[in-house]
Amino acid sequence: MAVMTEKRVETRPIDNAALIAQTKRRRQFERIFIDGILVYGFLALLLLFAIFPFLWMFSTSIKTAQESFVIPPRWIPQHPTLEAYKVLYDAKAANNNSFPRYFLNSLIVSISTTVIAVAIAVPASYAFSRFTFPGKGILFFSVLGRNTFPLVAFLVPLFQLFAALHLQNSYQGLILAYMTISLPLAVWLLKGFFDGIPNELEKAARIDGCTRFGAFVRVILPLATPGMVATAIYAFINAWNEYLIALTFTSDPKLRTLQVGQTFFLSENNSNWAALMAVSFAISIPVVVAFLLLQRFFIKALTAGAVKG
Amino acid sequence: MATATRTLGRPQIAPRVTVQEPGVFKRMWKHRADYLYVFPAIFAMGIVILYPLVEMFRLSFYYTSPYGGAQKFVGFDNYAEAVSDEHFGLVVKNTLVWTAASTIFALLIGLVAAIIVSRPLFARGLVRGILIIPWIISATTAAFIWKWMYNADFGIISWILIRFHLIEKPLKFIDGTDFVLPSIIVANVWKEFPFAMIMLIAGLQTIPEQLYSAAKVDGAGRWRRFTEITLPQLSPILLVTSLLLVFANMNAFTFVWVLTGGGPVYRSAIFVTQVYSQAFVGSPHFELASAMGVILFLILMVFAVFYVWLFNRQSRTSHVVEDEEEGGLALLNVTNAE
Repeated sequence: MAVMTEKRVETRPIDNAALIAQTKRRRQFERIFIDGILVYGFLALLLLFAIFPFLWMFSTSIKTAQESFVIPPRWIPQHPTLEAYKVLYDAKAANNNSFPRYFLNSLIVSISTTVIAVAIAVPASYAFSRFTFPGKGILFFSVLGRNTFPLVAFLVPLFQLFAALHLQNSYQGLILAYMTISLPLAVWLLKGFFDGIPNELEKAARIDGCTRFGAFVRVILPLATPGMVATAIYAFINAWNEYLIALTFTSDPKLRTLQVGQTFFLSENNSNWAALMAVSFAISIPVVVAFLLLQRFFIKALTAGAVKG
Repeated sequence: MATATRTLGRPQIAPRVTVQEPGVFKRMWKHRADYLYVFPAIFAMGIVILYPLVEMFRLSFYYTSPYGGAQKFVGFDNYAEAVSDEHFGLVVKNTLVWTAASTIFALLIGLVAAIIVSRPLFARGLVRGILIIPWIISATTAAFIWKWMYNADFGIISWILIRFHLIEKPLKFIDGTDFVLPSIIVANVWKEFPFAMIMLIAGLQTIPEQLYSAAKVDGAGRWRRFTEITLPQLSPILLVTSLLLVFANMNAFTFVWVLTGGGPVYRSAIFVTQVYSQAFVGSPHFELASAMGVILFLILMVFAVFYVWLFNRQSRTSHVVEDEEEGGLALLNVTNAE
C-alpha cells in the first residue's frame, strides 16, 4: 500500500472539463472493451477449450464405426445412432470385454475402499483433531506425506508382498492397495470437519455423564455425518478413477476395473473408436454427477488448507 | 510488505518445543487410549506405505534376478546401471520439460480462468462447473479422448488445422517423434488447469476489497491494480499451487502411459513411466526400478522439504495461509497425485 501512495498521480487539473471528458471516455472504453469483449471472449475460449474434447467424445460415440473414420471428420453425425453403446451390454460386440463385469468390479472395489477408509479414518482424524498425545505430529505427518512419495516406486515392494500373501487378483488386495490413496485423503478431509465442530459440545456431554468415547459417538459423530458423506463421495471418485494400482495388481480379466478394462475396448486390429468413446462417456457420468452434486463442498474442502475462508 | 509483516510477526510465535520433556513414556501411557483411535489407520499405512518405502531402499542395493533366486548385495551398482542407461538423459530431459511446461501453462490458464470466473458473470456456477470437469474425469478417459483427437489419420485437431489452412495434411501429433512431448503437455494442461483455477479462485476471495477501492481512489488503473495488488496478494497461493502441480506432474503416470506409453522411441518417456517399464514390462528389473524409484523419491523429497519450509514461512508471514503446518501437508492430498 505504501508503494501505491508514493506514486500517487498528481491530480490538480487545469482544465477540469477536458479531464472529466477524458476519464469518461476511458471508463466507457474499459466497460465495453475489457468488461465485455475481453472477459467474455476469453471466457468463450476457455469454455471451448474445456468442453470441446467432451463434445467430440460424445459426437464420436453416437456415430457408427464406419462414420467415425470418415475423412474429413463430421462434426455432427449424419445418422446418429446408439449402436456403439451396444458394447456396454453385449460382450460379443466388444471383443469379449464385459462392461457390466468391469462396472461391477469398479463398484465393489470403490465402495469397499470408501467404506473401509472412512471407517478407519473417522476415529483417527477425530484423535488428530482433539487429542494431544506424544508422537501425534509425526503420525499425522506420515499419513499426509504420502502424496509426496512416488506411488510407482512403491508398486514393486507391494507387488512382491501381495504375491507372497496371494493377494494378487483379488478384491482384498486391490482394496488394501487403494488405502495408500484413500486413507490420507479421508483423514485429512475428516479432520477438517472435526476441527469445525466446537469443543464445548463434548465438554457439555461429559458433564452430563458421557464417557469420552460416548461423547464422540453420540454427540460428535451425528454432527459430522455431512462431512463423512462428503468425504465418502470424494474418496469414491478417487477410487473410481484409479488406474495404476488396478493395472498392476489385476491380470485376471474377471477382476479388471473399468479404468483398466476401458483400455481393452480398443484392440489393435479392431480400432472401434466409437465404442471406446461410448465407454468413456458411460464411465465419466457417475463422477461428473457426483461432482456436480457437491461442487460447493468440493471447492471448499480442496482449498481449506491453503486459504482461510 | 512481506518483510515488514515477518519482522512484526516473529515475536508472536511461541518457540517450538524440540526437546522432549522427561517422562515421555509416562505421557504416552497416560494417553494410551488415544492411540487406539489412530491405531487402525497407522497400521494400514504401515503395510501400504512404510513397508514399501523401506523395502524399496533395500531392493535398490541388491541384485535380483528376473527369474527368481537368491538376492545379492551389490552396493550402488543398480544406481550406476540405471543412470548409465542410454535413454536416461532423454528421460530426465523429458521429465523436466514435461513438469515445467505443464506447471507453468496450467498456472497461467488457471489464473486467467480464476480472474474471469471471480467476476460477476452470467450463470457463473454453471461456468465454473463446466471448467472443472476436465479435472474430475479419470486420467484414463482423458487420455483416450486426446488420443482420439490426436489420431494421425482421423484426428479432429489435424482437420481443424487443415480447415484453417495452417497445415496441408494431417500431423502425427503423438505417433511421430517431433511433436509428441508438446502434444501431451497441451493435453495435460487441459486436464489440470482447473485445479490451479480452483486454488486461485479461493486465493482471490481472500484479497480484501478495500485494497482495490483504495487503489482506485489513488488513481491506479486496472493493470496497476493487477500487478501491485492482485499478484503480490496471490503470490503465496501461486507458489503453493505451483509446487502441488509439480508433485502431480512428476507423478503423472496414468496420463502419459495411456496416451503414448512413453513412446515413440522414448520421446515422451518420463521418470515414472520408466520406473514402471523397468519393473513390469518385458523381463522384470525390480532392482533397477527400485533404484530409479529411490532417485525419484529423493528428488520429490527435496521439493517436499522446500514446500514445507515455504508453507511454514508463509504461515508466519501471511494472514492468507492457515497457521498450521499440517495444513500445507494436507493440501498434498488434493492433487490427484499418483
